[in-house]
Parts: sequence; C-alpha cells; structure tokens
Amino acid sequence: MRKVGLYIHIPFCIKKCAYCDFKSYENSLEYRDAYIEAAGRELSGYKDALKGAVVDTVYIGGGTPSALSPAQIIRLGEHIRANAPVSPDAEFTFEANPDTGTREVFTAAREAGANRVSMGLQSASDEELKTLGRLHTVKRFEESFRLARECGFKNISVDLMTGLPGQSMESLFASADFAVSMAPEHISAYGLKIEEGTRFYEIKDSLPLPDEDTEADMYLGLTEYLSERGYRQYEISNYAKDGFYSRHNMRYWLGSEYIGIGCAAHSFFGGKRYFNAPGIEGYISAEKSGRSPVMECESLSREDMLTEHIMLRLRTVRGIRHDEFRAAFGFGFPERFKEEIEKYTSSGHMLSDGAHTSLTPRGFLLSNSIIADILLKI
Amino acid sequence: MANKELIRNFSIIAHIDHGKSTLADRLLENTNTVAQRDMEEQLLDNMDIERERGITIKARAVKLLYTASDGKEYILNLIDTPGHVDFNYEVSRSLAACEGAVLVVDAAQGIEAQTLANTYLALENDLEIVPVINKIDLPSADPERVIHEIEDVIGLDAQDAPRISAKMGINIESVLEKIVKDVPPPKGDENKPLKALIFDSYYDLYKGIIIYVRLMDGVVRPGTKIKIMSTGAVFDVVETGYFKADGFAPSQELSAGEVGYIAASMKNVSDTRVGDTVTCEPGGADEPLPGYKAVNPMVFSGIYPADTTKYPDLRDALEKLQLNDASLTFEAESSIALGFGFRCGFLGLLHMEIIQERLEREYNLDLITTAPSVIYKVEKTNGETIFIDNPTNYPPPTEIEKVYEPVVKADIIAPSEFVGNIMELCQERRGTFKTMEYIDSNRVSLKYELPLNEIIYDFFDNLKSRTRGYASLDYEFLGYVQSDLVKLDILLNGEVVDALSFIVHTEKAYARARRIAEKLKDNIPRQMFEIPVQAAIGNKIIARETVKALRKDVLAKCYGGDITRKKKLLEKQKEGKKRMRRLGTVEVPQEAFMSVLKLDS
Repeated sequence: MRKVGLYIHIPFCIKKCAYCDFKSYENSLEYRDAYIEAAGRELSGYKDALKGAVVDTVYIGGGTPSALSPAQIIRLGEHIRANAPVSPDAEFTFEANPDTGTREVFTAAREAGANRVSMGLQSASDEELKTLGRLHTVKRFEESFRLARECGFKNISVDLMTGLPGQSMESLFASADFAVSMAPEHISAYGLKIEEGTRFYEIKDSLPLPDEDTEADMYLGLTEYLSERGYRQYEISNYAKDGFYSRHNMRYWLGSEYIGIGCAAHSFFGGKRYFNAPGIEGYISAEKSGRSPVMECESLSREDMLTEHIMLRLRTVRGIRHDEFRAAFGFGFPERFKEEIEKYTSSGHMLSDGAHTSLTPRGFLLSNSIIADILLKI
Repeated sequence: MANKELIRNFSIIAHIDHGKSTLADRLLENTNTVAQRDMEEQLLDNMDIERERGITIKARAVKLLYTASDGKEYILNLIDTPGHVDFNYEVSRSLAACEGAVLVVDAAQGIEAQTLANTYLALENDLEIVPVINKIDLPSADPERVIHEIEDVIGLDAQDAPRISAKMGINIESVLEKIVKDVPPPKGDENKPLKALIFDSYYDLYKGIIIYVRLMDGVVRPGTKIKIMSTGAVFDVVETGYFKADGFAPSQELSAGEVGYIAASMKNVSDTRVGDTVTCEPGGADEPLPGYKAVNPMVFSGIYPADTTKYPDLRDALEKLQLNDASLTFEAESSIALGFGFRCGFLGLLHMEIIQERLEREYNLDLITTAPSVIYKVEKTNGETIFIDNPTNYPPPTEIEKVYEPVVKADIIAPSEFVGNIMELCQERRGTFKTMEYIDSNRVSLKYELPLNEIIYDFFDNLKSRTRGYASLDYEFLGYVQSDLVKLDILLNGEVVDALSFIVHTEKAYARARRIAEKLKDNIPRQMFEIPVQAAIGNKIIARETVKALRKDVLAKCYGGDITRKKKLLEKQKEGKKRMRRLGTVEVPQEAFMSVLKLDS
C-alpha cells in the first residue's frame, strides 16, 4: 500500500528567535483562523489523490504550532481526519514551544490526533536562551514537559543546540545532562548556523561563537555522551532510544513520499518535488480563490534521484544499502565510488562493508565536503 | 596635398596625473574637433583600464584644425604617447614621428622621473620642447619654482611657458599658439620614394591590421604597393586616411609630413611592428628610418585559465590582443599543477598587469598567473649557455657553473625627506648606489643599479608606500651581472607544485620561503587531512607550515523536508570544488596561487 507522510506548516510565532530563518512570522496571529481553513482547503485537494493510500506519519511543525488556540488545534485535527486516511498506528507529531505549551494546548493536540511532541529546549542555560531570543526559561520548559507527559504523550523529543554564542563545553554538557534527566524518547541536536536575514546575521561579527574545533568537539562529544545514555544516533542531528527514531523525518532521508500543507511547505509526491509560496496572506487568498499556492515544482530526473539518494542516505547511520542502490540505479555503489570510499574509510570518515556504506560521526561533520566529492563523480 | 608649412606634429609628455589626458581633451574641445556634447572625459584614453588608472597604454593620434591668431588654419597632429617606463620604446617611436613635444608639468609637484626620462628621449629625437605649467588653480601651485626646476634640471628656457589649468580650461589657447609658433613644420620631400614610420597599429576585424604612420618622404594612396622594410613583405594599400577623435577619416592620399593611417589587409603582427619603415615597391627607399629595433620582453609569467576547458578561449584572446600589441609574446606551456596555459612575455610589470586585466575584462576569462620571472642566463658545467624564462626549467645546482641576472639602471625622484626610506628599500632589494643629486632645494634624484627580478616583485608598490606616493621611478636595462641565485620549490603534501617555483637570490631565499609558506597556509582551505606546506632548495627543506585538517562543515538543518535547498547548497559546494586545482590529493584554490604573488599585502 502506498504510504504517505503529511506535514502541516504553522507559520505563526509569538516572537521570532534570533537565529531562525524558517518561514515564520510575528504579529500575524489574527490570520490563524483563516489560515487553518485555507490549510483545510488545500488538504481537501489531496483527498482523491490519497484514495487507497495510507498516511502513516503526520507532523505539525512551524513556526509555532502551540501558538494556535486549543480550538484552532482541534479544528486542524478535524481537517486532517476529514481528508487524510491517517492510519491508527501513525506517528503524529505536534511541535510545541515551552512558553505556549500549556495543558490546554497539549489536551487539544491529543484530541487532534497527536501522539508525539517535539519541544525546543535548545539550552538549559537561561542566559543562552536569552541570547537566542527564546521566550522560555529552563523552569518553564520543565513545567511544559511535565504537562505534555500528563496529557498522555509517551513519545517526546527535545531539541538542543550546539555552537551557541557564549556556549562552552561545560554549558553544553550541563544542557545535555538536563535534557537527559527529563528522560525524553528522542533528542535532536542542531549546530547553530548564522543565516542571512536573521538577527544574528546582522551582529555576526560581534557574536562570541565557539571556534571550528570547539564546535567539532561539541558535536563528537555530545554524540558519544548521548549514545552512552541510550540515545543512539540515527541521523546527523538526531538521536533516539530504541524504537523511537522519528519515522516522519526518516521519510525525508529515505525518499518516501510526503505532502506539505501550508505556506512555504515542501512536498515530495507523485515523483515531483514542489513547495508553496512563503507568505501567509498570499496562501490564504490563493486557497480562497482556488489558485494553486505552489511556487516551484521540479520533476526528478534520473540524475536528480541518484544525487538525492546519495546525499540523503548518507545523512543517516543506516547509510546506503548497496543492494537497494543497485536495484534503483543499475550499477554498484562501491564499484563506482571505489576511490572515494577508500579515501574516506582510511581517513576514518566512512564505514563501508559489503552491504552498506555510511559516514561516521567525524564523517557527518564533513558530510557536505564528502558528499560533494562523491557527487562530482556523477 | 597639404601645405607642410601649416602642419605641426606634436606629442604631450607628462607624468601620471599631471594632466596630459585632460589637456588633450581641452585641445580637442578648443579646436572643435569634438563637439562639447560628445565630450567624454579623457577621450584619447578610450580603454577602460586607461581611464581608471589614469594612464595611457597605447599610442593614439588625432588631427586637430586650428585657426591661429595669424589668421591661418593649421593642421595639428597630436600623437598621444604611452606614459610608462614599460613602453619606453613605443614612446621613442611616437616621439620620432613628431617635431615637437608639449611638456606638461604639475605646478605643485614639479618634474618627476618619468617626465625627465621622456623629455630626454624627446631631446634625443631633436624635438622642440614646449613647456606648459598645469594645475595653476591648485592652492599649492608654485609655478615659479617649477619653472626654475625646468630650467635647472632640463636646461630649457621656460620663462614664457603657458600657465594653465587644463581642468578649469584656463589658458588653453596659449598652448595652441605656442605649438604653432615654436614647433617647426615637418620637413620631407613628397617627390622622394615613400618612407613612413610605423608608430602604432590597430586591428580591425574587416580591414586587418591598420598601421599608424608618419610620412617622412613620398606619397601613399589606395593602390600603392608598399613594402615593410624589416620583413620585406609587400601589400596593396586599400585605404589611407586621417585620425578623427572618434575614428578614421579616409583620404585620397597621405604625403610627406603628414600623420595618418594605412590599411592594406595586413594580417601578420611581425609586419606591423612599431618603429619599422614602410616604403613603396618597386623604387623604394634604400635605407630604413633609424631607430628600429625588435623589442624584447623583459618579464615573463605563466597564464592559465582557471577553468581548464577555457584553454582555447585563452589562446584566441591572446592572439587577438597581440594583433594590437606586438610586444606581447606567448607560447604554449603546460604545468602539472595548472594544466595547459601560456608562457607570456611582457615589456614590464605594468604591461603584464594590463594584459591580464584585459584578458579578464574584455575576454571574460578567469586566470591563474604564476609569479613573474625575468630571463636568467645560465652557464652550465658542460659549457652550454642557456636562457631561462621559466623557473621550472632551471637546471639542478650541480649542472650550473655560473648564473647571471638582468640588472637595470634606476632613477628615482622624490622629496629629500624620503631619501633614507628609499635607500633602505634599494638596499633590501640588492641595489648598488650610484649617485644622488638635488634637483632643487628639496627634491633629489637617486640613481641605483638594481636587479630586475627585485623590481618586478612589488618594488613599485613598496616605493610608493614608503614615500607616501611621492616617489617616481624610471629604469632601463643595463646588462647581465653574475649572481648567486637558487631555485626555490614549494611542496604541498610532499609534492613539488611546479607553478609555484621561482628563482631567488640566496640571501633572500629563507625569508621568502617563510612568507610563501605562511601565505599558502592561510590561503589553502582546511581539508580532510593535514597538509604540510614546505619550501625547499633542492632536497633541503627551508620552511614548513601545516594546514590543519578540516573537522567540520557548516551543517544546515534540513527542515520540513526542504530537500531542494539542501541540493542547491551541495551544488554550490560542488562548483567550488570544480574551481580548485587538484594537486595529488590536495585541492588548491585560485586565490592560493595568486596570494604568493603579493607577499607584502
């Protein structure tokens, strides 16, 4: 049976974080109701296409989904039920910020169908949180996390960040200690990247960022630390207890289909990659008038598929399975990239045996360079 | 046929920034050669590079009609000369086409080395010098002092020199009157066999190479069979004419004393060299005009396309440039590090920079150039003598008996307060002090003998920075002198990078080696493994640095399934890698090659 993922983008934020370059907007809360209805309309457009398929992962992300009111969250759940054949054992994630993650919100998320929560802790230092422009404190996070548990979420993911301004190895591991003490099922750890168009970008030269070596040490140290505590790495930035890896995120790396609903949302469906225009108002008015919100669409050529297969799978610990690769492209991965594999296995950046090739944590740190090197051969 | 008595052929001599091009613009305006509305700043300098740098690279000519105070209409042929030491020979030929030269001196700055050198050239060619004091509008102008300087240093009577401001258009008329009055009309006999001096050439897609000539004797018109005296090549003249400010004006003929152009479907640069003589065939002149010489390049550098597939484009571009610039030489060479490219010969450093810049701008090429080299003379132990213009071909020390390097006679003029700094610089550059003379109460002329390979290496930039921009430099080739030289090799990851080798004086080898190793360390991006950067003389390592291994890329979060963005980033990374030169396992960006060319910046 065709299995499809569903992503719904909620572009609202109470306040945008200093490092964030995702499509999210402050001061737009008045559009929430209209937006939910527009999302419902977009979703209904897929009703026919999804006949006979099953949606086995749902991800409501943002922006800040918890910035919706409980009623809006419930309304969104109704749209999903009405249009998408969500399987009973689907993984259904609802992203929440600690400052808006209240009992009412979590209760509504449960009612909408969610069984997993992803929460941004980022750091367990109030000072670092302030620098990042986050609205919560460590105490508030603790409270919110407890509420999520109380509302019945048995699968919770916590986000951490490395490479923050003023962050030291000590403060990072203090944050990691704290995150582990909360006993979530899943931890994501993202390295801070200063993106153009963010508040951090404007002041980038005055930010006390850790140097490249420290950042690398943070990454490798954290990976080891988490693995010792039962959080096994399964992707560049993701760690989980056994059985709790994010099924939705794995779709992205394994090239399986997903539909993105909402402004700026990305889809990979029916052999095409496409995404919606970024603005909230434009999205709402497009849906109202029956115009397509899609801004760009590409059909994947064989070369695109090959590029994506290598680039996405090498992000995962699972790596490239040689039999799958040959079945998909008709030639052998280890034979074709012999030189690169030799180079990077001998330098300790890659593991390769008869059945699969993957990157080591040190290799993940250099994945852009290594993947670009391999792709140059195509 | 023009009345020779009413022709004045002249050029303008000036130091950079003393206002030569601005004065030329005013002369064009005042004689209505160019309508005011078409006036572009510095009309004669029509290459972008010339306007930006404020220099004239190519000689150029224009015919002006001027009705003087005596009521007669004169033909004034202005031959614009290049103003830089690299183009000394071109200058001398342009001057040989004239009877007079307007010497423009800045009323605030006075005479500079360049002015002096070109004035002497003009005097050698028996030109009448018309001094003009420019920039009198400047608050710091001191025309009296400058007039004394001209009289003391050059020995010219400058009391009635026009005091002008080319910029403000003050007293331009008096310059024109002076030219008419002081510059003698051309001599020459139109009944004698044709004798014309080539002072420049220009390549036209349809007409072939057009030669710029000054007729000394005889007449030339379309249909005339002409012969190039040094090569003996014969051509049928297709078109003759005069120079307008914005192009060519065909004429029925050119006769003795006149300046103009000849188009004769010429395709070969060796037939159109500056200084050569054009005569008629049959019945041509017996003797060519004096002063012709084939100019030899003094500075060499390897030029390679950054993108190896652009090699044919680079060859085409060099061929086209050479059509307008016979002094540029090139031949194919290959480098292990850089692939296929060309070893190019230039008259000097500026010439080299100009060619590189034109290749990049006008032909849209991305280049990697190797460090400039001069020609070394090597006497080998087997008795053979060889000339080396590419360090890669330098023989191993055991095969060398003696090495000689080219030395130049340098004249530096600067305010006396900088004498210490200049002497220090010349000392560092292995110079031999010759003389020091005061030009006036506070300016001196220092004469040094300097190895050319010290001058081509950022000497001029250094001179400028140590004299707050006040020093001027002129030099000429003196000869070969025995020297103690070694070849310095650069190794990346244990392998010699041929394109980075260069020849250096033994005393300087260590310091230079250290600087280059440091520069490379800073300019080679960290890679997956540690890269030793070494400098060696033969097998002996004399400097070492290490490029630490790269540990981390910037890893962007791949959020909400945005694979497209991630793919674009990887595409960029791939493109970046393509632009790198792969030397064994090391990837070296273009910047790294370029960085070693500018060690002091």
